[in-house]
Amino acid sequence: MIAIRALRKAFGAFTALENISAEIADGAFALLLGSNGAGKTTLLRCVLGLCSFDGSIAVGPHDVAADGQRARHLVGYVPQRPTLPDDLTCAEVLDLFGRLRGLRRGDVTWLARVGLAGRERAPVRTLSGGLRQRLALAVALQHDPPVLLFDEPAASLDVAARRALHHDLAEFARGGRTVVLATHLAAEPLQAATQALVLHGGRLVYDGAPDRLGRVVRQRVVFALNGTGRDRLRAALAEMPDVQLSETSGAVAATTRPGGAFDLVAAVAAAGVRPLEVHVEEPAIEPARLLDGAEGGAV
Amino acid sequence: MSAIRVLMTHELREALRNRWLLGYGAIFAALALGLALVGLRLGGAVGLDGYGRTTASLLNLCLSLVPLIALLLGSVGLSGDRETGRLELFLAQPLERGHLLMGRFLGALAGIGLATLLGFGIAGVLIGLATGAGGGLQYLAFLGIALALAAVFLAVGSAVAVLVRNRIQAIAAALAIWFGCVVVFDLALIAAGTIAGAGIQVLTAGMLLNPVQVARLLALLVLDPSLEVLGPIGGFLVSRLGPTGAGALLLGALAAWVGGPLVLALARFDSTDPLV
Repeated sequence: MIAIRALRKAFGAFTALENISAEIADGAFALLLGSNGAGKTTLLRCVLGLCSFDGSIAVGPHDVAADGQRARHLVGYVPQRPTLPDDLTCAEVLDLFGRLRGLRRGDVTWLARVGLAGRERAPVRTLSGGLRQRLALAVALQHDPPVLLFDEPAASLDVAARRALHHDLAEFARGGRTVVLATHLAAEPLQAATQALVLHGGRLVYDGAPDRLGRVVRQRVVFALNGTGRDRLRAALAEMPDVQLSETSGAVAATTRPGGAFDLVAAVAAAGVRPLEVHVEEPAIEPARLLDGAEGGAV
Repeated sequence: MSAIRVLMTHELREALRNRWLLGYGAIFAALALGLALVGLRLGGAVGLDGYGRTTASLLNLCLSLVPLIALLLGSVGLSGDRETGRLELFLAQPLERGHLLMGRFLGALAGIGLATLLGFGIAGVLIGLATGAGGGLQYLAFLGIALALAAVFLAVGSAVAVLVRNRIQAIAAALAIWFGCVVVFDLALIAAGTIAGAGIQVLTAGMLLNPVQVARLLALLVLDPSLEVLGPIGGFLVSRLGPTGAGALLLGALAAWVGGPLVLALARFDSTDPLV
């Protein structure tokens, strides 16, 4: 459904994407993984024809550079910041974007399907970040596009809403749509995805099955300290298997496998250290480990 | 065309919900009525009837305020949307970029037009009721010129929005253009005539480069085409082309000032990365 060939995108002297080639098949649930600044958003914008690029991209039968308008007809897009018109109601937003896609009017039944039942007349400005994300999803879905692109849609969602969204995306793919999810978080969507593409420094360093990425998904736990207990904390964590430490003046960060966070916190507590604060981050891909050979890259 | 109509309607709706645009209409109505009352109290000192006196009083106000409002609306809208991410959402729809720009332009023009017509129109009806319909056609022509001026500076604002990177740059550029057209250009033209000794033909050509001056001359031509009111450049144009020819040239200049910046904006918007 999406075919990318020798894609290169530069902004002046900065090369954002270099020599990207990939294919995403009909009905795939593809994860576009990478840390912030890896080039995920730029790649999605290229697929939508929102910026110029070298190489070629096709969405279905349409070449994006030559016929971006028809390519975009096939695509529903939820950007990282879905800034919908604040003064419009939910129904008016659907109406506006529906008409822009050639519908006679917006399909308000989608509001109920994305969890916004009864909010037809609610102005956008009264919606929380999560509900706006849901409205943006309804906007993207209402014309029933065969391709759905999501750019970090979970960034403004709490854990429960994020899980629900990832579940929905997997359902869309099972329903026959091609779904591309750009994210720096990896743990949950990896289980449902059928394909993973990993970007690092603008290059595609992995294109293959998601389950082979398990070992390069890592979770970070940050212990904030007030100056005491650093040595004991360091010693306790050093005894743990598969843990890497990095330190700053006020904190020690430990990186481990997903799900290992509790063991680290328990070990620190057992050592008698009481940090000022413990911050457990979401599991995320570490593309550098792909380059180090921790996992055989498929590219 | 359908996408342009949808975007135009959306833009107009946003403009009408925007309180400052309605405030702009209310301010114009209040000023028009105030100036009309003051003019009527002076009892025909300038030799014009109710509408003509009000129109003459409003001219300078209109030539200053309409470009400022239109420039800010044209330049800040699109560049602001780029910053908030709304532009990305619209560009992701199956539209031609030119349709997006044109829809916004026409919608903003309709918004300004409605506010201007409402503001001046209320005053016009009240003046008509108080003084009779004498000069009413001149007043309507003046409204048309105000709308043309709004179209010119919305087009210039659209070009600014495409060329700059953010809202702050857009506001700075809009204010600089406004100051140049409303204040600096007059002084430069006077300096060119008195210090550099530029001839009347050069000054006339120079005048056509400033849409504010073009609109001023066109309004004076409609209001009172006598030489002492038109000044040397207007007098030169009328003597060479006649009142109709001069009017046509000035209208053509305003049309070029709408079309030129719009074409530039469309070409630039279509050929560059609009989100950068």
